[in-house]
Amino acid sequence: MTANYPFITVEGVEKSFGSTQALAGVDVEVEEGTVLGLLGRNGAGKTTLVRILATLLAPDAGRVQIAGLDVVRRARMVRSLIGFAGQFAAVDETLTGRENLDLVGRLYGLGSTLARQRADEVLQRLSLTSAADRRVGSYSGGMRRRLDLGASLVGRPLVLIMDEPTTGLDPRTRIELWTFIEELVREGTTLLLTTQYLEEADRLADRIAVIERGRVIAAGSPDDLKQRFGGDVVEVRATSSADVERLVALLDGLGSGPPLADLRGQRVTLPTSERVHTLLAAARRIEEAGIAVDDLGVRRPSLDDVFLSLTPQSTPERPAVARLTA
Amino acid sequence: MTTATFDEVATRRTVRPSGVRSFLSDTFVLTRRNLLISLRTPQLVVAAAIMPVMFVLLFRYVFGGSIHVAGYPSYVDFLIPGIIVQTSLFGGSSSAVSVAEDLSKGVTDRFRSLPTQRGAILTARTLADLVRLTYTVGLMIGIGLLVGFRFHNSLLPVLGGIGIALLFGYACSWLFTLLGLLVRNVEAATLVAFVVTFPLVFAASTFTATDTMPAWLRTFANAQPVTQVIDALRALTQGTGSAHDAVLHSLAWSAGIFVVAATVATRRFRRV
Repeated sequence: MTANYPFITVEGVEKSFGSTQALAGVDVEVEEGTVLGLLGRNGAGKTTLVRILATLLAPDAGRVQIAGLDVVRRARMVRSLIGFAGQFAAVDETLTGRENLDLVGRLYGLGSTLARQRADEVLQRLSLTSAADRRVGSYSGGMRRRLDLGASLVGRPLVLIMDEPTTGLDPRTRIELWTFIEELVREGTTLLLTTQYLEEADRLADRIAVIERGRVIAAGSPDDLKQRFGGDVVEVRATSSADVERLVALLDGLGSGPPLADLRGQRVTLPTSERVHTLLAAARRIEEAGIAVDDLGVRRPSLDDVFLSLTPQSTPERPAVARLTA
Repeated sequence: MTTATFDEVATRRTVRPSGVRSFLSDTFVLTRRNLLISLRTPQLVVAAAIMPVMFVLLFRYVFGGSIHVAGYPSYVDFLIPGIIVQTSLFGGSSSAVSVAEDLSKGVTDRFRSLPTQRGAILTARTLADLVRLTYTVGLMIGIGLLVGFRFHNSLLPVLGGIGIALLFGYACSWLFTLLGLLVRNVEAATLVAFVVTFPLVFAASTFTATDTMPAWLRTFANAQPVTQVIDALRALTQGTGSAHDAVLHSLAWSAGIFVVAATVATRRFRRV
């Protein structure tokens, strides 16, 4: 725990399914006790990479090591070290929570007493003790997810691999799960998680790798990324959503990039490298055009801005009207 | 320096040994899981029994009166062995559905990411299905006895005949396991299993002797394993004619299906 050395190493990994190339040469490193967030859209290759790390899939080319062990050649040893939580809550609905965890413990090779003990421990940790003897079929979505996460903890893994752990959860449950994951990381678990949610990566990850079309297109700490790709942004909130498109046209050319509209939030954001100058210029134009705005200011970029600038969804010539997911 | 740290990590952890003991333990634990799920899904238990019971009643009381098979004064003695083998095949088809379900729900991924013996996962699937099959076959014999079926041979050949039917069912559940791995989706698995089972069960000596079928159909019916297994079971439970050839053919078919299906399924399972 003294020296920070790469605990997970992914080097030049390629994987194709038929003629579709899912991974086109991915390099990633995760240091011990840190969290890597693998950020990308649906179909970017996140799940393929995670499945390779979890020894479910062999790469076509490249090398993957966990704790110095090759995940293909020493798969069995790797499996004793990792905990894997896939994209779906992979629990048996007709079994109780306790039975589900007990089963996983037995499959880690624990004796029946120890398996039961670990199941109890995990149930308590995830506040599922009172529901332990109920069938999972009666659990809420959040409880299922927690149980699924619990199943990946039964073996006391050194490395946790989670594929979109909070997809489909309501905001409250999501925050609950985040708190729990943070606790695990504080205890020294190395974590690699994939997510589509920028907010999630920002909150949980020490380092983020943005993956797009099977390649890592950017990597760094959340702050690094924001600084490197985001710059500052001028943000205007229109009083009426009808004015959003007008504001986009009005602000075009003022910043260091095209303005982006968030129709739902009635906001327009404009990347800039000269914050004050751009802010004043924008204010003048808005006043001259007589558009009513509720708010106008400069702020640090969010990961949304970073993501949008890395993965453009519209042609650069035209002012982008991208819909941000809040 | 880093290597030393890694070795330390590896030795600090008890890495689960592979071998016969973990295979047996995993198979036991997973078979119990599969059976528990079946037991707690009443639809499965009832569905496994209801179809064959309907067939018994249909052929015993509706069609049976007008079906006459040479050598069988009572049609029900001809019918029940057919139903038992039909049940073995239909029962095996539930393997396809369960395999596809575990795959699509991500449960299989979880099991495969654990230091589990991967062969144990499929073995447990088929063993649980064998237990289920034994229950259904027992039930069919019970229903048969209620509607007038009788064994006309001594205990040993009767048990041998039932054993041959179960063995065939077991071999087929590997075949259905393979189908489940290939289609991966519950609805498709149900359909494919039905499409495979239907001709095998009906173009066979299940409900009537094959001699009345047109020549092309008769050739198929006599050559395929279901007829062989049914003929063996009939000969052994009813003492009608020599069982020798049918028994040998049945065992050969079962062994062949088992070896091929289990090998291909296990290989396929590494890449799901």
